[in-house]
Amino acid sequence: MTETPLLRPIGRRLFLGLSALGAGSLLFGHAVTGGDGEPGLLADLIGQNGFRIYTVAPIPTFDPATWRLALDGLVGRPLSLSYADLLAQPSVEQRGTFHCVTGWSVPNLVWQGVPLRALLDTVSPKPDAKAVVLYSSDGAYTDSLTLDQALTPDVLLAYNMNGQPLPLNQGLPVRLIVPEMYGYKSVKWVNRIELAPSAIDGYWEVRGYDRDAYLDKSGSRAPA
Amino acid sequence: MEPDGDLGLVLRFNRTQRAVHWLHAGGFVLALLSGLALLVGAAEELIGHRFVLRVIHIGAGLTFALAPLLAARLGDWHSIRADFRAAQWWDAEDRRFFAITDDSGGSRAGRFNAGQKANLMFTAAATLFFLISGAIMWQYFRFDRALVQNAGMLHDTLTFTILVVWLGHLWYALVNPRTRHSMRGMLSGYVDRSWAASVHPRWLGQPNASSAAEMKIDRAAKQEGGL
Ligand code: HEM
Repeated sequence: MTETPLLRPIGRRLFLGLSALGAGSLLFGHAVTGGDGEPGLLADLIGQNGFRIYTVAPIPTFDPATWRLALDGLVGRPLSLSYADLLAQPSVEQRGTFHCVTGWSVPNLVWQGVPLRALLDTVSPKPDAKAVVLYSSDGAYTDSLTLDQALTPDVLLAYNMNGQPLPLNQGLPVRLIVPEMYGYKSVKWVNRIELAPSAIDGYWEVRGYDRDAYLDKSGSRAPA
Repeated sequence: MEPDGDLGLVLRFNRTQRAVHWLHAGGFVLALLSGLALLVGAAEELIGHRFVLRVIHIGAGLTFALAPLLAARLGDWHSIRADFRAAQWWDAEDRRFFAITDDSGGSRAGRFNAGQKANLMFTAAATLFFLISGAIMWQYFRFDRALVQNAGMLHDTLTFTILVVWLGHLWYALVNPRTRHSMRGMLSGYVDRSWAASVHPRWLGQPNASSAAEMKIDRAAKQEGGL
């Protein structure tokens, strides 16, 4: 060591450069990927049809012969539908993007199913019914909407996705779709819909998620 | 001057440096495993308990990012700072390290070679952005959807990038015959002096590496005007 080597802050520049990349992608990433986002890296490897499969309990089995969907609680006329009954209801098709709170989205989905509003009309909610609680047949997952939210025309009980019955791990036979809210409101494997005096905290809301799941933080409804 | 070939041991990592490393490493492995279980649909269908995984993951992530800082604060803060400084400031030998045209048999490393310095700087930046993007995903309801979406994509990108860098790190620490002796330093604190003399020749010349490094940095900072 005869001479003092000249030191340059190359490591520091590496740190700052990487930090600039990170901050840039946080602030402007959506400008590159488009407003609807994208399923993320390696989407097909880690998920299915662009979805990542999230479950909180073992996936329930489905037997079309014995499966029932119950509508009960504060209603004038409780209802219990078989799978065939559900498919026989007047149905609608709507296109939408599915957004998850962990940052992935699936654009251009075509859902087919029965508007929740139509089923609620047939059971005649009592005047003190102010909310709808949805139960999943996995025995663990629940969530709720206020009655006003549930009556929004595009809230759907969907049984087909892109022309096919839902895959088992995506809610077969029927899942809720709430286009204006994050995916955790869209309960999979729905088998009971209860009219209640007020909204409850669902599975994730008990665990820290927000009861208001609007994608648009102003809480206002985008035109359907 | 330290004579080469002396078979004694020399202290490479003190207790604080080892605690910082292993808290970071332990948090990392647990965050990686729980994160991959959260990510890969098939794994989660087997395990099922997304909430439990999420709690484990956030706990592991916070350990990965913050426990080393706490350990450094409670222990020998000075030695940690000195290593971070050493990784920021590169001398001519460090700059030569990555030169492809170098036919002189490689550069003569000090306490850390330039690859180790780059690894430390990359890891520091990655940790910071795992923490930021993870916190946004955790508290998603406080933020715009665009930011949540960007945070999710950044978190994924960081996972794949750090996985590659980590595999390289493991190769040098466990497999590569010339460097794997360094694992002993991270476990017991001590390495063979002869190994240090051959792999980190310019480190042994500096009995008190950190203060020597700081003197040089002061001088360099004056010459370069900071950045
Ligand atoms: C530094 C602190 C960290 C925090 C606070 C954090 C937090 C989070 C959160 C909140 C999620 C979303 C989980 C959910 O909502 O279901 C997540 C997902 C994930 N994290 Fe982390 N994390 C951290 C570090 C890490 C590290 C070090 C790795 C990997 C080496 C990692 C890999 C992942 C992966 C692969 C996912 C799954 C993404 C998905 O399912 O879409 N995280 N993390």
